Amino acid sequence: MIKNYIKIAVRVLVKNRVFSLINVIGLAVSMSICLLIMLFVIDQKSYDDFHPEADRLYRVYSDYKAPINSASQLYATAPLTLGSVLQDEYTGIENAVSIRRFGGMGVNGDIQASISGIYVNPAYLHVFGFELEQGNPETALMDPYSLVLSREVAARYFGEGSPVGQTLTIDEEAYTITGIIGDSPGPSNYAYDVLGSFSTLGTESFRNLFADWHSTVRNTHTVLLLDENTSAREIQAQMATVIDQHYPGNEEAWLAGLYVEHIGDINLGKVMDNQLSVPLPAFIAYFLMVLGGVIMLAACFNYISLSIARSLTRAKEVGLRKVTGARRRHIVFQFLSESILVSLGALVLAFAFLTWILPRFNSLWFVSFSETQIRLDVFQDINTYLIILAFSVVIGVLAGLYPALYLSRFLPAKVLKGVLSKVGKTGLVLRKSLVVIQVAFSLIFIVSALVIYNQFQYMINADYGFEPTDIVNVQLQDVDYDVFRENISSYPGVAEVSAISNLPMTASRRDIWMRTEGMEQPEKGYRLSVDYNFIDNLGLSLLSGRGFSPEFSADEENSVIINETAARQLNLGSTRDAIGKSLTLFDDWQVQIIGVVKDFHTNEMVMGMDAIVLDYAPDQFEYANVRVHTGQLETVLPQIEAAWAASGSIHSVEYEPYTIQIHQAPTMLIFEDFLGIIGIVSGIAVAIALLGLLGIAMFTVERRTKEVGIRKVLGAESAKVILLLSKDFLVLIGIALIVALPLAWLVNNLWLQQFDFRVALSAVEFIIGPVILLSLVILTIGSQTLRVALKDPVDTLRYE
Amino acid sequence: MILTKELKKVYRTDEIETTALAGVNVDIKAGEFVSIMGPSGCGKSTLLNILGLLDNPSTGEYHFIGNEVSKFSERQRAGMRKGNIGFVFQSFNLIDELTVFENVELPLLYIGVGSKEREEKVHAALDRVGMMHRRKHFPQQLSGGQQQRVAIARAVVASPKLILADEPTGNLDSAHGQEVMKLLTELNEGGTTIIMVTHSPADAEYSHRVIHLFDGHVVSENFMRERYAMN
Repeated sequence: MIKNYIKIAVRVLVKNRVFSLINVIGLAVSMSICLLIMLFVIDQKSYDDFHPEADRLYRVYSDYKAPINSASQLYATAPLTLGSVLQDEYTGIENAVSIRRFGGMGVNGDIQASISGIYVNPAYLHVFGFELEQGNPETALMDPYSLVLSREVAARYFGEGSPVGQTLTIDEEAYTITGIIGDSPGPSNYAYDVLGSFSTLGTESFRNLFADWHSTVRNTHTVLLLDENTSAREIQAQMATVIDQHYPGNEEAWLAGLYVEHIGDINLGKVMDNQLSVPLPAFIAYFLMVLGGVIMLAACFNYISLSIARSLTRAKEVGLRKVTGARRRHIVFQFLSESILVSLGALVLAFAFLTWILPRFNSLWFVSFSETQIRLDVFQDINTYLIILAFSVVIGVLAGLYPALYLSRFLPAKVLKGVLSKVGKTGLVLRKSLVVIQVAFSLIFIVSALVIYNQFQYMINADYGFEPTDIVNVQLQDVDYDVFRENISSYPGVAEVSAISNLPMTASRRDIWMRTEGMEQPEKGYRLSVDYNFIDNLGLSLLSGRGFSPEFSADEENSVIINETAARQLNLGSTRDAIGKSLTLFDDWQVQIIGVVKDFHTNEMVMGMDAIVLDYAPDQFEYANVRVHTGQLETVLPQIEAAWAASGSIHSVEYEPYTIQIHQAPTMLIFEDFLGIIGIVSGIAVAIALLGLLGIAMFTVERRTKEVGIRKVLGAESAKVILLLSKDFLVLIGIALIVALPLAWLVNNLWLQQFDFRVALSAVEFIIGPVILLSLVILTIGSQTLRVALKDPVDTLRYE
Repeated sequence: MILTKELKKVYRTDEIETTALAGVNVDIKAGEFVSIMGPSGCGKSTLLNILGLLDNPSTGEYHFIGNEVSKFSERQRAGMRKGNIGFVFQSFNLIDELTVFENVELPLLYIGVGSKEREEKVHAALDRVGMMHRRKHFPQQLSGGQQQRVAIARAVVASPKLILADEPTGNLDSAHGQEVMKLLTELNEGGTTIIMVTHSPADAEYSHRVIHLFDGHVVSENFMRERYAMN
């Protein structure tokens, strides 16, 4: 029976090639997007599943309260001693791993390179099942200042020979190499190629770390290996006691909770701060799934509406089958086998699309930054194929179920007598509704893509309140700013040079707490340490007071310049009134305001203006801002390199034009990813809707060819015929416009509200969007109606 | 085999009520070959549809092989049709996507006959109508007469007790029409009950009995041949 179903399905599909192709292409494109998302999720969920006791591994995270986060804030960390406390004093825990990040400048003789890794206790290797290629896993991470490196990292400092027993200095502390760690057997949030012994943290250099849990709660990670018969719930139940007995809070800061979570739930899990790696939160997966779902539905809609449109031609067959003994379920299965076959065919094509789209997804910034690229390893797992196959069958059923139920309802007595001269009312209404929904969605996508593009352009090109064009930022690293300034200033292409601690608009910020006399609670602001030239060089406008100057010796100690927002937050009155007022920064740093600058953007244009405190602090300088004469950039870049070489650094020069740095700030890059994703999805949604319209237009034309012939014989002009055939479509498109435009406005308004600095929704997108879509629709339908309208009536009538 | 009492069928649309059958009583015994004749719109096809369990009467009784089936649901009727009734249509109604063999095989598939037995039965049926050599062809590759022979093979392949033929020669020239009528006669002689709707007096000659319908009523019954007396 199944064989018979498949046989006829293949023949029907081949016979109606164009319709089959429309369905296969639509389903394939949207399936490829869904496959991509599925692979992404499968891959994300395969992290850390290879450990020998993976099902018993749990991490502990904290809800930690401090003045900076009066609301609940989750950290992926826990107090440093938690692992040993739990293991020693509580039941149910077989082993505990404590992890803390470190980094610095690694030096071996002449070789210097920055190095970063994690401090771990000896249990780390055993609990995670990582293996050493050299060294004794029992002792390698036992003694303070022990260091285990991967072969690759070791080669960087020690060349090809065995480094075990040699010394590597990191930030002036000498570490002994005790082992070489092998590659991680699978993707992991816990695999590192530089491991330091956790006991190092107990030495003189790190004193207090074990005693004061407040200073470690936000940077030490704990992973527990539970006893075989212990559940996470049992461990969780003990946590309140653990906090009471070992981590008493004080008025400002206290542990509101410690929670255990399976390590498989880290990726696509909760949003929390200070994660060890950069796991993507679940909402990203949900967002992608919704987009994938929408275009998958659109493709299924095509299948449904084309099937219903063609139901007349299938009605006779249904009647006959029933007459020869078929039950309704036979018919349903037969039509389902067709749709599943189409879906499986689409799956094959979807893989072709996937090979195109996968590398593009992997190169998205949020993916590459978080190192969550989909690995092709997922294809080595048979389960991946089973999931994909099951997905394809589900899609086949989803697309085919309604048509199957609809078609199998036909009564043989009616269809065989030709009583069924038109598709039933419900079928027609449904078909038209699907067209409206598809076109409406396409329109919402197009308009949204345009709005996102506008907002992106706005953010890139906005007036930030300072002038980044023609500025090249040079990372100072180990070079003294004055030396570099001296070297670079002599070049004629250089207009001005200044220095700053961290660059506005690049997601690099330093908190500061500020208050005036009599304020109960300090206000939060951000500190920028700058030199005398900064305000002029960056083109900030000074509203009152003066800039930093070498003429005032106090500027080096206790003078600050604030922006308007800071003045407002501190209730300092007018910008003029603020001059000369005193502030307390942090706990007890007394400063005097010498100037107020106009607000300028520091936080990537998402939220409102920050309160900014500028101070003069040469020891904080991280960047030199080299302003070049307009058009001289290409000439100056080699001069920067020359000036750097003359400054005697052990590092290679790191510089970048400021505009590029702003463009590459995380918010901008995420926004660009978002724009790219919405752009592609919009394109696909539109293409699917057009394919569907094409199919229905073809069908309409086919059905009405004879009518057109008769009308033409009776004197109808081609234009009238085209109008006649397009009218129904145009009405549907009109309804779609009416439905979609307010929705598009609503949706876009909603997300734009999240941005304090945003473009206004203008009529332009709401005109351009529909015009683009309407042109495409007219082209699509016109291609069919024109064909029949221009035909000689003799041909059309003979055709019939 | 077939007994109807006051069979009525009324079609209703929003405005018009059309009476297709206005109290039809027929009694057809197993092994009979009965023709139904009458002008267009007299209710012939409606009667045939009801007798073939494709449709239900509005009122009245219909006993088919001892069962009162007039209130059966589509599901029950489908069950009753299966293997009991074969249909032959004026327009042949073969499925274009299936070969001759596959078309004939269809009723057996739905009954759930095993593949080997299926093949034997299909071959036997095709042999009987002389279409064995065309079993791999598709319907469009056959002449009208050949298509109707295939349709007959399909109607008989599951050895039904009753064959309903709706103007089986209507779309055929007279030579092919005669071939089809001979086939039906042979089937009848083999014991199958046949009810045929026809406009052709010549075709009606082949049957034992002719029921004339007019405006939904049986207006006369003629016994055509002495063979009826033998049954």
